[in-house]
Amino acid sequence: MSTTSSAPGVETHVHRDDEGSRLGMWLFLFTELLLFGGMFLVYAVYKFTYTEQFHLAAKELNTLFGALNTIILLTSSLTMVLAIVAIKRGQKYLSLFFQLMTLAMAVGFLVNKYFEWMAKISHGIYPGSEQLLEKSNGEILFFGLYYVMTGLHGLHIVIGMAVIAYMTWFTWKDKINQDQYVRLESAGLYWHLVDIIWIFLFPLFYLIS
Amino acid sequence: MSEHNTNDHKNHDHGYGHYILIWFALLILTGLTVAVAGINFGNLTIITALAIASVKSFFGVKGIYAP
Repeated sequence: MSTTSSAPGVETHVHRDDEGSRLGMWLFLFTELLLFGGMFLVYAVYKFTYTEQFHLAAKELNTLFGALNTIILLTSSLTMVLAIVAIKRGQKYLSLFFQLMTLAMAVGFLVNKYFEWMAKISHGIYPGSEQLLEKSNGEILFFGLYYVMTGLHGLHIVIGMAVIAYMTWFTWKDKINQDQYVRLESAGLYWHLVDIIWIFLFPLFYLIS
Repeated sequence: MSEHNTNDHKNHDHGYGHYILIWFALLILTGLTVAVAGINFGNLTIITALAIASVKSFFGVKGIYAP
């Protein structure tokens, strides 16, 4: 996004529209809400149909793991927004530090999720397992939704990490700087969305027992 | 460089402290959600949890993006 001179004394203007970029990002986030919204509707219907069995199944989940991951994501959202404050103030290295902190917490979230899923799988609870199929319909549906929704959310965490890592590279190379930081802002918006979705997944799966 | 910096949002600038306060409030609401879930309100439990989650979303988004 730099300007180039085509001839001495003649400057060309490179179009830049930060407001447009922000609006585009918000539109994209709404499509993400539609994606997850559909799943939340499926959850609502089955939760209503199989209330007791959902409660029973939720007892298998560890609230501590869920709460810890909630705290990790909230804190990573904080470091993400602090990275933007820092770059606006021209504090490049502080911004880089906050971005790397965000990435580290994203890794922490996934490690937690890995252990959580592995614990379930080692107990024979995974889609299509014999042990799960012996359970009631409501419990099978609960775990199906658990794996699909937390799995899709986990995929969003991985994508968010890739995007933030790219922004960290841009910041390092001064392509994101005090003057141009809309890309970092958009990455931040995406990260906050991923956080907000978890804020809803957490009570729906972990806190209904 | 003919690029004019008309894209700035200087009027939005909050300091570090502002965001740390929001983070702190969100942590407290998370604690509240877990605590409330421990009390058996029947069907109200999930409604309460979702209400707090909505408040958290609204509060977080407003805290970050409102001028």
